[in-house]
Amino acid sequence: MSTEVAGSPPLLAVESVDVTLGRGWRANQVLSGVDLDVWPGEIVGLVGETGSGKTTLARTVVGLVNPRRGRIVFEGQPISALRRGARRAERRRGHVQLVFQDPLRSLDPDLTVAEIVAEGLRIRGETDRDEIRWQVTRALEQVGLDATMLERTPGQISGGQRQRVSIARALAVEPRLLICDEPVSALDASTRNYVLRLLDELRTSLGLAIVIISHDLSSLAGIADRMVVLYQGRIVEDGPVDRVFATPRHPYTALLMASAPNIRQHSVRHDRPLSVHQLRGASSGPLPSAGPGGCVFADRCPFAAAACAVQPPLEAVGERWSVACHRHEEWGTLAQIATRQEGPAHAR
Amino acid sequence: MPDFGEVLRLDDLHVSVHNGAATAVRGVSLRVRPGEIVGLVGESGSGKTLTCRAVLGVLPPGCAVERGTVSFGGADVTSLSRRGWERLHGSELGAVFQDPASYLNPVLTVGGQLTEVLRVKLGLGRRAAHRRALELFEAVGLRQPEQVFHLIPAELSGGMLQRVMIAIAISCDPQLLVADEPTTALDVTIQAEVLELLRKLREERGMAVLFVSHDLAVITQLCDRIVVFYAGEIVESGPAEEITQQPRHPYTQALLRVASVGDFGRRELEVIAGQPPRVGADITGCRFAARCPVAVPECAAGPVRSVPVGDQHQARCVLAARQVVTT
Repeated sequence: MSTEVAGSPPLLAVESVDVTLGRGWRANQVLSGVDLDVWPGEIVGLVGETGSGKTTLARTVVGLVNPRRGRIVFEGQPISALRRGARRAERRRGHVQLVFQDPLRSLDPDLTVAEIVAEGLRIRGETDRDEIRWQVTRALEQVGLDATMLERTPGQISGGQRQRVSIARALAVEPRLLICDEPVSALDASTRNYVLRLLDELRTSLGLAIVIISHDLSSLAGIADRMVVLYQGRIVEDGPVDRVFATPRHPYTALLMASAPNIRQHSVRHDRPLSVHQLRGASSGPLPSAGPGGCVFADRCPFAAAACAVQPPLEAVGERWSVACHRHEEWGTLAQIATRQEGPAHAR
Repeated sequence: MPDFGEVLRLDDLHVSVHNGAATAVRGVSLRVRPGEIVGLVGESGSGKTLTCRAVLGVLPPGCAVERGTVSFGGADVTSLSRRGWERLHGSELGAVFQDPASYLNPVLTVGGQLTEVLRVKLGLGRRAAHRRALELFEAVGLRQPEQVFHLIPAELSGGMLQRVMIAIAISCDPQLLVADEPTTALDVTIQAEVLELLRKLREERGMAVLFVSHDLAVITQLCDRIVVFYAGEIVESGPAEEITQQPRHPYTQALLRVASVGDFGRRELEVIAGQPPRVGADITGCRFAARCPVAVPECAAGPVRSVPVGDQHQARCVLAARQVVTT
């Protein structure tokens, strides 16, 4: 579990960040009022659908995108306020590293594994060849790869090994925070579990903080401490993973859970109190237009009421657990009543 | 075995890759009955996608059917001409792939692309094709079909594009829909909707579906029968419920342990030790033996045959065969 010391400052603080991409009539607000704290040694799972702003949030944290409002504070220093030389110097230190989804596309196919892993060190200004060699070998060892890999190119190794190389590349510069953007979605189940286990071990052995962006809730449940659910650029739920999965407080979180494929489909399903049909509102039409200023989820939410014409704030519902829903206390009960009236909703 | 009639039948199918240098699919035999949803599951490189490409007659360059036959509706189509395949495509045989956007023309409206198919394949007039297109969009769950008709692919979300692809694939009432990882690129909520749609279409139209995925959880959710691929061979096949509850092949058992169970509990994430053999590797005995936790010397001794281990349930495993003999 999280090694957070009570009262210690977070490693990363994202403070009411708005991000707009594009200009003029093309301007598109991608993130709205995002608040997120990450403590050392913690694994945070970030989930949400395509276009919800997960990747933009990752890019904002590493400084590839500037927030229009709010700030990014890393180790107490507001890094989003840095400009030019100072920004580049901060990036060169490499304290925040990104790991991408598809290693075949994110790794240079012409470089050897040794060159790929050494690149960050060279950028940081390391020139001593023995030192670089030693650091590269150490980083590869940390991800369970040996020296026989050094001279191979990404095309000559398997998908799981490639993803481990991209993690080693990130680890070489001794980061404090690792942001993994869909690190396992291109991998087979066994390899996926291997990489996730590796991340879990690294946070313990190196005290790393890790943010994992994923759409596979079930595998996140295996390793994450906290779950953050993003919907259309807003955080709708943020809480301890076991609590959130036991009793999701936002209807969207519940919908995500009910939609996840399940190998126990054919057996009894009482681990799922609500069926996907009860949680699914309108969708699959031409993109629905939410009322301006209303709750972002209202047009897909079967429990939307008059109050939902105003965007609900993220409010605390438990210890380190917050949710943005006006009806977070009622919708669960409403759904139960509906089930009783309509009879079992499990029939296909 | 009683014959219920079959839409698709593969007999001892061998597919070679790298211009014949290696055999990636080694002796696959399976049948799909009318209205049945059959799921092919396995790791990348297990031969499931090549098998389904052979069924569609669209093997990638350098790949060829080396041996065995593909029969469609009782007729051997293995050495069909290009023309012959074109007649089958779209009319008897529909297909959906992982990335719908790359199969649609980005500058034409989706409605126009669907009516084109209807006019060419069914010879419908302009008005009739338009009417039928709207019905199809409605059938695949697109709201406001009149509006969707006039949109170009870039104006639609991934889930809506996949619905458009499905509408095109089923436009001429095919007997078989081949779906190769159709939901892999979609969000979970949309994936659940597309899977439901496939089930609904099967029920309404009696269409058979050959569904390929690396995700056992998705396969279980959708399919009546599951076929497990490992290193180019079928290692186990049977009714979905039996495969998930009483898997007989150690590889299937391993796949079930590593799959997303969907209970959202904190758990030890298991892995299958070792690597699958190289494509085309020459192995005398069981191809999974090197990674198998319960392997015995007999496993590597000679070719392992598929044996019946239940009703419509087969496993290619020495140990499963032994149990059959003793009971």
